[in-house]
Amino acid sequence: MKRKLTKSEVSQKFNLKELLGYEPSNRQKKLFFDLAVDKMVERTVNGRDIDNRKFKPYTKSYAEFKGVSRGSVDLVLSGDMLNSFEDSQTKQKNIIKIAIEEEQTGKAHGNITGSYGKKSGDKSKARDFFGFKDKKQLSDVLKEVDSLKGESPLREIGVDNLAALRAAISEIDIEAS
Amino acid sequence: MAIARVKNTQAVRRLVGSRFKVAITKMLRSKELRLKVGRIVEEDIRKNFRKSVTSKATLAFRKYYEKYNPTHPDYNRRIINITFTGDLLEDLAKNVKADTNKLELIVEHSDKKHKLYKLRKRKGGRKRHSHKEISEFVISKGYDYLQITDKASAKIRKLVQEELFALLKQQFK
Repeated sequence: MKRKLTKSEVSQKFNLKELLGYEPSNRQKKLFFDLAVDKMVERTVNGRDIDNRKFKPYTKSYAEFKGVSRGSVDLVLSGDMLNSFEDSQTKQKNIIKIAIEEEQTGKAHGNITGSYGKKSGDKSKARDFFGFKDKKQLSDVLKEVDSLKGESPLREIGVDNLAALRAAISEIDIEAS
Repeated sequence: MAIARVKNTQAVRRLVGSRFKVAITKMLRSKELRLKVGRIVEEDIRKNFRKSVTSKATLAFRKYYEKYNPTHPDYNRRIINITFTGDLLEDLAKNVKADTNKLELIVEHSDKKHKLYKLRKRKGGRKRHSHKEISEFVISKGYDYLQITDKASAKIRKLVQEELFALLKQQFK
């Protein structure tokens, strides 16, 4: 599960055969990628880093610019960075490589290392949102991926169906206090 | 401070996965949406928070200040609806903040100073108070207007649903 963190590449490789204990199906590999990315994004927008520690607060001026409170750190400005995870192809069939798209790599690297456009990183400013440290952090993802073992593919969720999207959104409510 | 919290998001999360959090984070943070929410709360207070003025002294005081200050169209001498020149609720409408981790919109006054009311003769040495301080004073007098009513909640819900749908719809073209 080693991460590669350079200015030109931010990625992490996962040996799914090793993690599951058997050779994964294509569907399991795809599900693993989707769930692992979801987990990373969810963690980030909830303001937590790879160690599940809270991100450093924004500076007062940056928080004002974003229109949020200082502690509301989510690394989302345009949203492009957290929408830029890609399933990179590798020659090894049991390996999943999650990477940040090339054009967002600099931004991601700046956040992870705390360099933010400067030459060297600064740990005290870093917001390390990318990847997973160990198998334990992925236990729920692996459980779900394992549930597909030997089964026929699950029914795809019809996200292309706008009526389904409308119905799901109509359940959203506002609680005032 | 009043808070509007976005709830019951499970169905849409299930449907669109991590795109939901990115979309709602962008949406809550958008200046336009925060201002729209602020305007909903502002209008709700101006139109629906109504307490009669019963004290003669207050009526006299209001009559005096009306002469020297431009009043808001929703101002009524006999009704307290937190509106005189309109500045206080204008500040509230423009100061809505987002907590994207908790999916909350926070409606509160800023620390910016409220304009002094004009008097018949200029009087030096008057202290300017912040909108927040004035709000705390008004609430301490029993006029707790800083609340999101059911009516306002319903409007905010509709707004949030529409904006979120528009945002997510773009991704499924």
